[in-house]
Amino acid sequence: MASDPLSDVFSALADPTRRAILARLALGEASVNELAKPFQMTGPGISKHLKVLERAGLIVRGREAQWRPSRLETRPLKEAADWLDHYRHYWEESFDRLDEHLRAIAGKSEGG
Amino acid sequence: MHVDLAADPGERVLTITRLFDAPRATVFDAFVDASQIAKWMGPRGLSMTHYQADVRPGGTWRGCLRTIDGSRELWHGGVYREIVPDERLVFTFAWELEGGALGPETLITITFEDRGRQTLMRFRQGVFDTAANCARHRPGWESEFDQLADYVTRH
Repeated sequence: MASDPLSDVFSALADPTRRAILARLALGEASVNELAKPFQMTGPGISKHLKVLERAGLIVRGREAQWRPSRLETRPLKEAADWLDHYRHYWEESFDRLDEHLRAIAGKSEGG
Repeated sequence: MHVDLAADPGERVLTITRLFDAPRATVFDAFVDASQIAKWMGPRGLSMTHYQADVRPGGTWRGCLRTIDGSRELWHGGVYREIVPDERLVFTFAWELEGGALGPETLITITFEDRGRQTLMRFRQGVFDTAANCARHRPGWESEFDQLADYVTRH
């Protein structure tokens, strides 16, 4: 399916359970069972979430059949944060300029 | 790297609130009058060399930012969704990639409120994450943001 990576990241992050899983993985890698425990979810339930996170590139899963530890992959998160930074920069500076522009207009109308 | 997982990143949107020292109608005009927009829109170090806007629901806007040395032109644009004079403005925003295709589309909502003789502006920009929108996207957003990083964040 043609999709852009950033949208995958944002939609993966849109779920509170998945965010909690990421927060847990920020402390270190964990197995499906370890991840399932605090959420009172079944293994398959957690696996579903892990698949979404894996597809978004937010986690990497080990290859060992029994113990497939999940590990946090920080690069996509950083890209998502960078996305915001770029636009924040764009608009903050635009609004600074708008502020100056509005002052210039006010000055003109007072003077004239 | 700082990533705040607790801050509901699924709702990850850019929000900016500003108080402008001008009446609401004046501020709103500055957002919909193409000749005024060209004077302030875009980061410092870039100049809006071309700007046109058909300000009505379904109408389009398109602008071109040029770097000071004139080496690059960055086109971007979108479609107006909602216009409530002096109150509210909703439009889409996307950078044009090389070849004319559009990068990821975002939705911008701006509201204006009286604060005495000043105007409080609330700005919100968010990602569309619907399947239909994903399908329209094309690979290459990373280079798009690299380009943005080069020409926008370093000024």
